[in-house]
Amino acid sequence: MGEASGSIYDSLRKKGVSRRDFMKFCSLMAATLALPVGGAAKIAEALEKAQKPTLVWLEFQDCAGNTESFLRASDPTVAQIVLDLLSVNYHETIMAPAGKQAEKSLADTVKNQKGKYLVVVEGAIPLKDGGVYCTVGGRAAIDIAREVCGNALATIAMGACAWDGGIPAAAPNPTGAVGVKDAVKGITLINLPGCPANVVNLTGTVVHYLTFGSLPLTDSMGRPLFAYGRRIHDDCERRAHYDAGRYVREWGDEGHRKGWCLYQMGCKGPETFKNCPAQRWNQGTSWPVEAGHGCIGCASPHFWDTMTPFYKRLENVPGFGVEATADKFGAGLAAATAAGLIVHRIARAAKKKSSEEEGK
Amino acid sequence: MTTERKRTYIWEFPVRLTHWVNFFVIIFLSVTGLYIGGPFIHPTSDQSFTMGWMRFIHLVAGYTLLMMVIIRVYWAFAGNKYANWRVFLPLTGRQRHDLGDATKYYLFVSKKPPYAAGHTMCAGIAYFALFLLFLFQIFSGFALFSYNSPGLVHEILGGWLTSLMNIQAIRFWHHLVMYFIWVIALVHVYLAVWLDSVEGNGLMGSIFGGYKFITGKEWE
Amino acid sequence: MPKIAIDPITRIEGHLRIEAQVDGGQVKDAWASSTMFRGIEIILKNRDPRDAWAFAQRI
Repeated sequence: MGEASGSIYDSLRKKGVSRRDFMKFCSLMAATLALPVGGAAKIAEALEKAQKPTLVWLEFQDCAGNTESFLRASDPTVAQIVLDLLSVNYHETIMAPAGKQAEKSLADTVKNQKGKYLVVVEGAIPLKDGGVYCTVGGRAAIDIAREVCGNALATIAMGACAWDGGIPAAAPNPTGAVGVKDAVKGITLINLPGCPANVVNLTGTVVHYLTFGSLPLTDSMGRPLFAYGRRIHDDCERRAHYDAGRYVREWGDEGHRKGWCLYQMGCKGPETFKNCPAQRWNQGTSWPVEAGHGCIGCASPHFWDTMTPFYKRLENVPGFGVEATADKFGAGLAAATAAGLIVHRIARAAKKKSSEEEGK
Repeated sequence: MTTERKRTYIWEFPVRLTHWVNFFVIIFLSVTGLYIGGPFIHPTSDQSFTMGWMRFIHLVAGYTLLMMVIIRVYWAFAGNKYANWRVFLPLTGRQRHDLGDATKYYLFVSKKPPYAAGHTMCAGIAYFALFLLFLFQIFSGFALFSYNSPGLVHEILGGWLTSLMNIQAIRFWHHLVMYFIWVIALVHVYLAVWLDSVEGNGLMGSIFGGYKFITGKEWE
Repeated sequence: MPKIAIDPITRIEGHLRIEAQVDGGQVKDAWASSTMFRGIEIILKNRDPRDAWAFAQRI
């Protein structure tokens, strides 16, 4: 039982969170982080002693989807996260003060907790035209990001936009949008791609830090392996239908109603890495494939350009019109070759005949 | 006018072996590949494993193609002069001359057939292009198969490609290059049948038994 | 007449700046500016129309 006043566990108990619910949360986190036996106990021990870390949440060129994801957290609910587990000093969507008072909260945190606070960044950072396409309090996003992230303990880039520019960076990227990794150099950064990212992975990352004092292991793109290490295709509950050859061919057909594989409807599960099938969304309610819609590959790099069209497995051959799928193009090429060879054969025969007539 | 012809061993066993194995392998890879890209068989029973089998055959055929490529590359250094790596690139002036001669004949510009003991230069370049296409299919295929499969073997076979191209681009080109291979195959068969009667040296039989009947006056 | 600016407006989705000209405790003139632009309509052009809902949804 946490004796130190102000420890996370202490605050949770004061708010009426039972020991049982607390241990449930620790078990959930241990499972999400894929920790070995004893992980839940380790997390519980850490949270009983840890002081509330400070977190600020920056929003740039965003749709607030990751904030919405954050608001869907359960075990603990976001109210508990905001007030008890973390000290969230700045979040434009939910904080009470506005204008200069809001900016003061941020500035105070950066000054007084320099090097000790965590930053979550949501949304892309525009670089074109001096960064004028996103300002807060009259300051360009790029300047805010450099100052706040530069003085932080660590930055968590949540969502596709904060990772690689996301939708604002989709062709033709009118505002020169980039993700945090390309806008701010030399910081401790962890990326949680997804559109939006699943709050379970954010909570897992923060809890990992609280328990072990370090950020989780990441892959070559800076994504935590516990969340982005497995291919959706390999964990999908419809995989047996894929291997068997049972595919939905049209929306609402017999296969769709039976829950068959959505491969033919453009599902990008085979090329996407995220824990959606395991963790699911909205307190484990469902995820796109379970609901009958193919994965759109939203955790993949530049997915708005690489994973579209969402309803086709492959993009079209560029420059040959809307219906020029690779198959049509290739079959056309082979047919043109065959036709050319037939013409060549006829021409040979004609030449032979004419040279015979000339009495050669 | 009769010409003195001598029965000569041109295509050694590894050349013919790889040729015919590739023929079957390309058919298997194409059919299974077309299915994997767009499943055209509808399931017939609860126990079907169609995609599973198609991928298995595709993978086995892919490994076989890799083996054939390795054997042929080795033989390009260990084999006779007709199998040597030099016949595939127009390195000498004589080869470049033959390239022009052969092309002119195919396009009806010249009436002089490119009599070759081994490959014409056109054939050499075409087969080199085909070799490059095979390499791309092998690397891209393994990149798709082992996307994020840990292990050095997978990294060497194709994993490295994913750091140069995004996965959907790899998939797209893997799909399209199959059709480029078909184009080369179609032209190859056409020319082989045609030149067999033009050259009169047992060209079609030679890819089975290895022997041509050459005059000694061929350019190579 | 003093002019006040409240930026950011909080507890909304998105970014907003409100300026108001205040005279004797009353607002005489006011301006609202959206302080963020992404160009979703530009990005939507030349794409498969069946994908449009996904892009537009992220507004």
